[in-house]
Amino acid sequence: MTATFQTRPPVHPASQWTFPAQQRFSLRNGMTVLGYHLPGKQLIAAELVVDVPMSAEPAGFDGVAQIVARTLDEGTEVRSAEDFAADLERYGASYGANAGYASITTALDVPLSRLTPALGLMAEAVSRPAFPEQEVSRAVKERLDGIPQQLATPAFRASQELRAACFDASSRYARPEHGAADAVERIDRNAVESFYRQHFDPALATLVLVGDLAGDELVDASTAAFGSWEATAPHRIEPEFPVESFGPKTIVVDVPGSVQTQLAIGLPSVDRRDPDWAALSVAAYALGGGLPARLNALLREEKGYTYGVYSRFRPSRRGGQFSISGSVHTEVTAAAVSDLLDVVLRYRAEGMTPAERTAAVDYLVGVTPLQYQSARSVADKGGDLVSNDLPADYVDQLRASMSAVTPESATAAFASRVDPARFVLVAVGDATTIAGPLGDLGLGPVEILPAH
Amino acid sequence: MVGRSMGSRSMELVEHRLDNGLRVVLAEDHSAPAVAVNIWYGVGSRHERDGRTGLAHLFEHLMFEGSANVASGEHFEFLEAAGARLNGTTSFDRTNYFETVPTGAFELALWLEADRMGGLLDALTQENLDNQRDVVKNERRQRYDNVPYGTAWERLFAMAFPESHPYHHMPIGSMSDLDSASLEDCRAFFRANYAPGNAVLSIVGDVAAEYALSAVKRYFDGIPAGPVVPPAPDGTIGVLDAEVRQDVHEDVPSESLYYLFRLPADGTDELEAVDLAVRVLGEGSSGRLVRRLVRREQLARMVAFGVNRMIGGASAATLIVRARKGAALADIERVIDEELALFAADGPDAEEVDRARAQAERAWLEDIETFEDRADGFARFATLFGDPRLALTAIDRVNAVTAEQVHAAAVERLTRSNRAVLAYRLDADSSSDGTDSEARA
Repeated sequence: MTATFQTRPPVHPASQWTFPAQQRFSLRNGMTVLGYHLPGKQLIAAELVVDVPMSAEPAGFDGVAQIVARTLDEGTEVRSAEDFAADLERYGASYGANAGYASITTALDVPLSRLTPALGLMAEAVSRPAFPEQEVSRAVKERLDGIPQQLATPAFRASQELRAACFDASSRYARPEHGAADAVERIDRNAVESFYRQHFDPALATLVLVGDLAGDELVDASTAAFGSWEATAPHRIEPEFPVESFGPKTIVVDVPGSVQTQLAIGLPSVDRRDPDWAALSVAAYALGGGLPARLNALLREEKGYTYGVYSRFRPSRRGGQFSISGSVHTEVTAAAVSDLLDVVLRYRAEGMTPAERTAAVDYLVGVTPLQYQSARSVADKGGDLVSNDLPADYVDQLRASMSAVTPESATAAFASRVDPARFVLVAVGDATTIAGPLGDLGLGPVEILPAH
Repeated sequence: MVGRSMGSRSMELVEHRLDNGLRVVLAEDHSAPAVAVNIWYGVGSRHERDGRTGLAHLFEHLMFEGSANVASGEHFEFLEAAGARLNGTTSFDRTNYFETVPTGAFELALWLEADRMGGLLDALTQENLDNQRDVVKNERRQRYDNVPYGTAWERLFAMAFPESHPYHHMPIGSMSDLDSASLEDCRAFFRANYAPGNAVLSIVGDVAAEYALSAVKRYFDGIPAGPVVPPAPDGTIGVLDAEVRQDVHEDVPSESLYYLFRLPADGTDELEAVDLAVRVLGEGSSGRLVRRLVRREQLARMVAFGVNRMIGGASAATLIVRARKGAALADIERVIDEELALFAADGPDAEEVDRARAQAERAWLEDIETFEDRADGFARFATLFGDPRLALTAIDRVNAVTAEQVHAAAVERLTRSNRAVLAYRLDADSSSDGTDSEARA
């Protein structure tokens, strides 16, 4: 009994799609509100972006921004930390806050029926935090305890070491995002409160509100929650350009007995405001964006070295990196890196093929509408654009620009930005096995770091 | 309460069963120019036999390597070129394959799924098997063997379920069993499990139901009905008679505790009640264990308590605690036992139950928001319980649970004896009453 099959059907052209329209207004206290009306979306997503780049942290106090973010809701002028958590959770809401290199954000997801009280709590945390001494102290200790966990995770460690090697230590972006231990240990309530007072102000804040809310409802909800946040004198910090440092250099983080080597290979690069951004995105995708791309076709499917190796440009608010990352079986580390570099060199030399360009552009343009079905995904993107000084129509602009990319323009942009001779190679794994063979590849001097 | 947010309730589902046994669920939603296509096959790691663990998951990989009319690599190529995102997952109970495609690629998705459901064996070669075996071995290394606590779940389930039980081993399987899998094993596996009668095809999105159903028939009617799928092994099992313990001495970043409590299978009232008990005890910032261990006594940096819903005769509640530096695991265990005893004595209060229900409602709204999650939910309830509409009423079953039922379920299941406890210790000299295991090789 065999099956009978049809012939492969054609794919019909996609219909026109644009990123949801934005409704923009300001509250009297200077706070900006961006509303995205998604009819039928009963789960509301709110994202508050405070324009505080991490370079605003005082010298020696790396990590204070994260402690501030982390303790906004741990006790306010109106209620204790435990009561805040209980009240918020009773509304079926989920809340989180994070300090990133670009900005500090707080996020709230809540059913529409409970938006008013939940948004009020979010506003209370952001505008009236009490920073109780014992909560700050606990947050500091939890951060200190969390550092070894991060460093013991190979992918995290490799990525952190790559950033450290690609930028001068004087740049905040080179250093651990939430602070290394020696800096975090210094953080106390005074440091937290001082940072908050200097940098939190409605004039520096943007609220992104997404869901089945529009017009008056949007204005009313945001005014009711945030309207009484008092403006002070805003102290806006200009985001910094990190100071770049290129290879060739090889760094091995020694974790004896590792069954795999985690790789992070790359160099300093651009942010999304660069005119070549669309071309570079297309180029990176064809090289290593998915399973059909050049890197996985060879290293995963043909040679079985890895579960997956991917290449991406990783933009920051100013500048960024290009990196290739993945993990390979320890025994084949040097062979995999050698093959990987060959792929990149060939790609630069030969260029992208028209078929590759079509496949990459068709994917990147085609998949975009699928990524914004939920209110949360739209809120995340809205917040991302604000944090990184990108225009409201960025998503639509990028799709249009990518559609105009040619194999030649993608190849030229890639070749001008990515030169493997200037790569930094980070490998987290068993140094006894891998350091020698990696050194033989000739990617600059080899430095071996201990795991701890 | 719940009634207000119910635009979603009015979703119409169309159900159909093809002559070859394939069950089809369809729901229209034109709010985005996309369609989610999702197939659940009723085979997971619980169906694997001894010596062949990991086969269901390995097979999932092989399903992407081509079929009768699809060359190796084309599955991903065709779909990505159409602007789709796609993947597959294997769990204890089932394997699923899903792609979300722009509307215009709907039939391409159906064609690809039909071609591999009916014609995979044409393209299944030793070379594909060898390649994907290497990929899976690297997946195992990456996710289990090369990260701190990577083998925690593997150890925990092996402790909590007897060696012959379907849930004793993880879907990833063992390296040696993967090495032993032959091409004939794979062929036999496909014939036995990848029959239309063992599958549910779920479609949600920008397609008219009538058209979509006719398209499904056009692509899938030509696949012959396969053999009747044998019933799954019976994993019905009660509580553990006595606590099972194991210590692991590894160079981990924080000492940690992992607990597994045996629970009733999914689809039972008792499991809904335990789920609420677990939320009250360990969810968010307000759960009782979080309050004591993280906030007040500062013995832990993180507490995570959740329910893994399974249908093969049992489910599992898992509790992870990461100790703060300097905190003793014995102190953490004492606090956990005190709180469990208190809960067993008095049960939850009304406010706690309300809070747990509110959180469950938000989670349920999240589960039905996107096309892909909704399609997955319909496939899940159709495959495991025979009725896709149960996805839309899941929150009603949560709200029907009383505080008394939550209390009773905890008394029965969240006990000191009904659990496996895995402890990661740094100090080689300290240990609990369990056997020590070897350090990571």
